[in-house]
Amino acid sequence: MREVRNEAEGKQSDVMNMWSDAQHAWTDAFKQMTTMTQQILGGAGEPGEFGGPFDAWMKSYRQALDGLVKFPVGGSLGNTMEMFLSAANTFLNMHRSWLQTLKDTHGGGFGSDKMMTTEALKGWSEAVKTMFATMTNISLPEPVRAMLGPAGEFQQTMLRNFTKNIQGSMGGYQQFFIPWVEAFEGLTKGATGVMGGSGGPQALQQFQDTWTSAYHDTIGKFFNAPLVGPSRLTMEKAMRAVDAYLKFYGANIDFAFRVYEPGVQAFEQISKKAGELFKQDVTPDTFRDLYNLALQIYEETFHQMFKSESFVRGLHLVLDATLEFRRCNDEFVEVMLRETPVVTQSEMDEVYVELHQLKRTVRQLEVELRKKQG
Amino acid sequence: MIEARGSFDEVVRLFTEESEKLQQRFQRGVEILTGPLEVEVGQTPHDTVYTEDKLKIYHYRPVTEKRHPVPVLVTYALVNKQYMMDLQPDRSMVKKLLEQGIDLYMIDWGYPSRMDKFINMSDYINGYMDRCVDFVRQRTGSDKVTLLGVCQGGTFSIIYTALHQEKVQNLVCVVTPFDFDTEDGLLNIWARDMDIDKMVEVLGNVSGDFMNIGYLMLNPFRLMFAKYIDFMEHVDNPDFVSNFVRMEKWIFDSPDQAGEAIREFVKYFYQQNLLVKGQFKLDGQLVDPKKITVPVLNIYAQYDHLVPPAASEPLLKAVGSKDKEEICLPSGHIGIFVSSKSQRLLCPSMGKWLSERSGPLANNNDKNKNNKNKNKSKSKSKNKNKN
Repeated sequence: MREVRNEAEGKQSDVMNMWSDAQHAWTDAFKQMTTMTQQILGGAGEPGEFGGPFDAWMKSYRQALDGLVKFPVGGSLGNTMEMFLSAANTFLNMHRSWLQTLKDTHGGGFGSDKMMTTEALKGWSEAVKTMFATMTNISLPEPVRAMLGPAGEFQQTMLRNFTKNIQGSMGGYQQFFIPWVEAFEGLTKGATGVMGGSGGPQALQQFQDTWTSAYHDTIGKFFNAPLVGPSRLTMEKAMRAVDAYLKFYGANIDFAFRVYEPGVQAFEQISKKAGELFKQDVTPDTFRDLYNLALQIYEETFHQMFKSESFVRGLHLVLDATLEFRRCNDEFVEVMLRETPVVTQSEMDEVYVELHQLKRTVRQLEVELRKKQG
Repeated sequence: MIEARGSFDEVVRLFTEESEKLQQRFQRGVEILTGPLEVEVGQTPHDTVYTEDKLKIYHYRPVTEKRHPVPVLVTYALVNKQYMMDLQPDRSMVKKLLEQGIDLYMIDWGYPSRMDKFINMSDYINGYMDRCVDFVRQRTGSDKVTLLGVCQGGTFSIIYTALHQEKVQNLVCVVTPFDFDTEDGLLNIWARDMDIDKMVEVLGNVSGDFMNIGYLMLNPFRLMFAKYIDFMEHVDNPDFVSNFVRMEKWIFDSPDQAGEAIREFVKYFYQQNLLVKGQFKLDGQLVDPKKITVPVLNIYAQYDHLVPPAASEPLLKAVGSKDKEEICLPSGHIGIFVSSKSQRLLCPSMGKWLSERSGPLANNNDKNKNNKNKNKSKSKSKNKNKN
């Protein structure tokens, strides 16, 4: 009895030790991989080089935050937004470096210093190997051992699969994010132009087109990919609804930009006029005068915008995206309702159209009857 | 308006004064809004004399001796309710027309539901409207009616007259869009490239709220902001509050638009402008405005932002009538019905124009008698044949 208990306690202890070792191994592997990444991104091979871009990012982010805090006094929203965009740009530059590294890895090398990268890869591989070996190195019962095969084989297989998966997912990762990273410059330029009022409709156009293009090349493809299996139809409808929502969201952002620019212009005009009045030592007779002035400026500015081709285009885009989202959503909801005892709109429409046709026929027959009756 | 005041202190003093006034007004406003407030609309006495599906015809009880034998049938737009013409008792176009001895009928289109999404322009014009005209003719014994079309209802009346002129004595169009190809109206610009097929396919009926958002966007600062500031400025005036609430009630009482009908209206008129080109077909019949030869009165508003003058004016040139006249009033799309100036100018002018073209009552009565006798003799002869 005691022997059995000792054996059980021993196994329990093995498992606990294994868990602890596995955690240590994982931590070590992560540390080694991070160090290697820092060396590669830094270029010179010195650990900590990765901190350069990180510091730059934090700096511009902090500046942007400072600008935001000062906004109500200084009215520097345009600059603040630029700084935010600059911070985001720096962040994505870091991301771009990382992606480039992955790209190179996928292509067979780690940039120019092949010796260094080979060593780093080797280290990385060893670390992962150790981690897996530790994680699976427990005193398993004999039947399980037999099932797993000769010692070490299982770990080797696991490692090979893991490496393959990592490489595969890195490739997918690149494909998925690189279009966004590449698009970001265009997005930043467009957004900065719109915010600063210097880009005009071209900046808006650039922003929207870049966003749409990046979306279509990445997430859009995923959501519109054909599916297989018994729930294909339902899943496709769900994914189309998500896709339509994201397009709806994008169209709304675009529309908001279009309205934002003239809003800023009008506000600047009002501030300027109010400033001129105060400089001349003239104050409004009542606040109603200033209000009327503001209203007039807003009305004129926005009326011009409402008539513009750019606005009409944006309006149609947002309307189209809204309708598409509504359509996809309705279709999905109808699929979900199919298994419930609730009649759907499409089913009711089938009834309504029949009813409409019947009513028409009855009325025509009534007319003919009256004619025949004289 | 703007005077030299001097110092910042002056601004502060003014601000304080304004704030105090606002507070007092607000307090009084709360008392008014929570007290007994007259906000009823469409109060001129009337009877429902015909119903079909969701449609109703109201007959307004005469307030004076009938002076014009030809009844007037008001065809209002589908997008809002007809009681705009009878919004407040002291500024009711309906009341003013009744005071001139006009026999007044009005169509209430009702509120289309999802069930009505397949109703198209043919159903409205060759169906409902034609049956309404027949009903009024039958009820009054008059061969013809005067059609008074308002806004979209005016466009329907033009089409109806071109196709069924034998039943129409006069055509009166008020703020009616006819030529849709104009840059003066934002609705015309926005609707031009709108994917109306998709909209109807997805939404079924186009909701009144959606339409209202479009109307508010025509002048958002005035309609969504300034209007309510004005309200706050006059919130201590019970009459102003009553009329404001009535107007709000009307503005946001917007029936949904039957899908097929609005699809056709936007596509054929706003996008292809077929009516003014004489290319519009209804049930296979060409609607040629040149074929309209009855007297036409076209009334439009100078500052109309929904139906700009450029959309209404071309009507008189397009119709074949020799007796045609136009009245342009210095108001907006709604002001034409409720502004005191319009009330003073428009209703008497309209009444005079109608009385000159409706014939004396006695003659018409004789004519009606003759018609009845004719019908009797017709039916008699048919009975004879049968026998």
